[in-house]
Amino acid sequence: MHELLSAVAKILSYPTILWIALGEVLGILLGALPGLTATMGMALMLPISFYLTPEASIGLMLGVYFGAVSGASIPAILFGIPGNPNAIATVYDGYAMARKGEGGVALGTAVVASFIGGLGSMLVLFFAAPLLAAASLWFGPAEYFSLAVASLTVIAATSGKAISKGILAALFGMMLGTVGIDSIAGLPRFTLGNIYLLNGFSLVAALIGLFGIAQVLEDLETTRKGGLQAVIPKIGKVFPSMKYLISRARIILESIGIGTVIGALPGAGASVGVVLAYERAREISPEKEKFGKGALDGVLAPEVANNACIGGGLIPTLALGIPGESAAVMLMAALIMHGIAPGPMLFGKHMDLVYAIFVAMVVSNICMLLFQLGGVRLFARALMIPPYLLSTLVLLLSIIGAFALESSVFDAFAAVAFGILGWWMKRAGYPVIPLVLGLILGPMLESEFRRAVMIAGTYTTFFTRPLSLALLAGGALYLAHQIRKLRKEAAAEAAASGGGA
Amino acid sequence: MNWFLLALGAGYLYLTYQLPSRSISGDPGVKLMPYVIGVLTVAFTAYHTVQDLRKSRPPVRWRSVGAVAAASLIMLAYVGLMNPLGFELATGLFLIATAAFFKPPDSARAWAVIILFAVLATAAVSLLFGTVFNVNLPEARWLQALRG
Repeated sequence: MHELLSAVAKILSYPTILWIALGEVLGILLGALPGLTATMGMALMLPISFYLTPEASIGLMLGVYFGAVSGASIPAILFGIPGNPNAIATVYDGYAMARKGEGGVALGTAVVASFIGGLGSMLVLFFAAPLLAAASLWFGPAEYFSLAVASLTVIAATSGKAISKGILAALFGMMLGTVGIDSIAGLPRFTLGNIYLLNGFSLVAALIGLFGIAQVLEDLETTRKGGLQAVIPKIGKVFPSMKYLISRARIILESIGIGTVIGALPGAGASVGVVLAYERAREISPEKEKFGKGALDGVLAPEVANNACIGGGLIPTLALGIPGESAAVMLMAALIMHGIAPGPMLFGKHMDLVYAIFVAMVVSNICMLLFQLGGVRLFARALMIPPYLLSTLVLLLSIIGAFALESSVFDAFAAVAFGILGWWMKRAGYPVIPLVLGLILGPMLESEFRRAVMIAGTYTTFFTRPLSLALLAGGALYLAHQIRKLRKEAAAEAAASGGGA
Repeated sequence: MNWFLLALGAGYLYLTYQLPSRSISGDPGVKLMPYVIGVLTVAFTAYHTVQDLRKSRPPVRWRSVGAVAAASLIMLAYVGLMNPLGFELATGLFLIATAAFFKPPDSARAWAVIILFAVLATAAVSLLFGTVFNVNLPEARWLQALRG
């Protein structure tokens, strides 16, 4: 109880609440602009978050995250273009409503739904936290090693159609993670005589490059063609009625459940959650026949689910150190920059910070509700900002952000190099998230492996400790399951194309 | 990408081989994990290279590659010129060059918009990082000399 009250006091303090609000505004703007993602915004905020307290830092990042997920509904509803994949299901009925002149109610409902979804999943996380804290006591070096192996396996296996590419990306990340002074023996490795590499690659430079610069390079052709040039349609009345929301309690609760569960599954992603919630709402809605033609329930369900996915995604991120998606990697990075490693010990050692995250989630949601309902017309105008100026600004903030942490020109060069690498990987079909996780988890995996062997005096310790064995077996089973699933899908595709021909 | 990873894996294994073998008592050593990573990288990349040889590759869009190369060169030039030119001048020039590359200006008004944007963005970033966060932004020697 004392930790909870302390967290409330820290988050509600003057500078912290201001950073959350700032993150929220920035997030809504990013979400409203197609092509700019929550992950990119959070990557750009990493260098700033370094200068803040851990609570303000996590509040800023959560503000951007919640804001961007919710803000994506603006272009989805007004122009039929989802600001990011979280809003794909909102397009179906939201855009149809906007064309009928009901865009305001659709936008208002989307905001209120996002608010409810965010709070609902936070409550699930809140009640799961004590159980996770108790589980943290079972972890020693062998278990941490096995957890890191299982995390990398799960992420590599769920990152795309070619599992071997995911594994290769993770290995490449681990390779980069070994650069610098070895944490146990104190010997420099793979630095090629470069003093800037003694501390290894800067995580912030890598993240900014891979998610900020790479995204701009990826969208270069669209940007040079001029991007979106649209006219904002009439918005009209914004607030949904309370009577309507109460009558849709079942849709709301089921969408929270779907969003939280799907968000907690690594690799599933919010885009799966919102489509499932939309389909479920279509089954149980009293206005089934309106779906696809402008049903408000078709906006409500996916918008509840996409913000519920955030809370769900935080369960494996915070408890196990396995981020479900790229934005969660940024939250992890923000914590790591403050010397706090997400994973079982977070709940054991830093319960005050865990509670601060819950309180920051509540404050973020309230800010999102107020700002987006009050400023929906203003945020919609953000779509009129020329994309070439926005992309230029993103590149500048990326380079300066990488430079700022250590006042290091080398880090700025590294960010550009990682940006080119990220663009190249995407072109070649290699997923980026396993690389980032390899870079983050690789050093921990190696040091815990060596510690476990030094303590036990044998390599068999990983297989004789039950939890360690269970984690390794879980990772292997998941990998086998994914390989089998992808083979089945490939066979079905081949059969379909053969049948079609 | 496959050839890059294959070369990288082989180079990484060579560097691992050159690492000193001494270690603390009971410690598996500084070489073991890099060996595992290097061997797995080479093995997976070799498998992938063979797999890819069987598939038809989509044609390379050189126009897009050229645009990315040009944008990357502008960024690298900016970082390289930060110390010699100083933060403000290098940033202003970078913003003008990048914005003009993304959308070539076709009128005096378009140039004015880009220059105004460059001035405002440089001032804002300078204020945020230099003044608010107290970051040591690069200052040109010639500017230091001018200020005495």
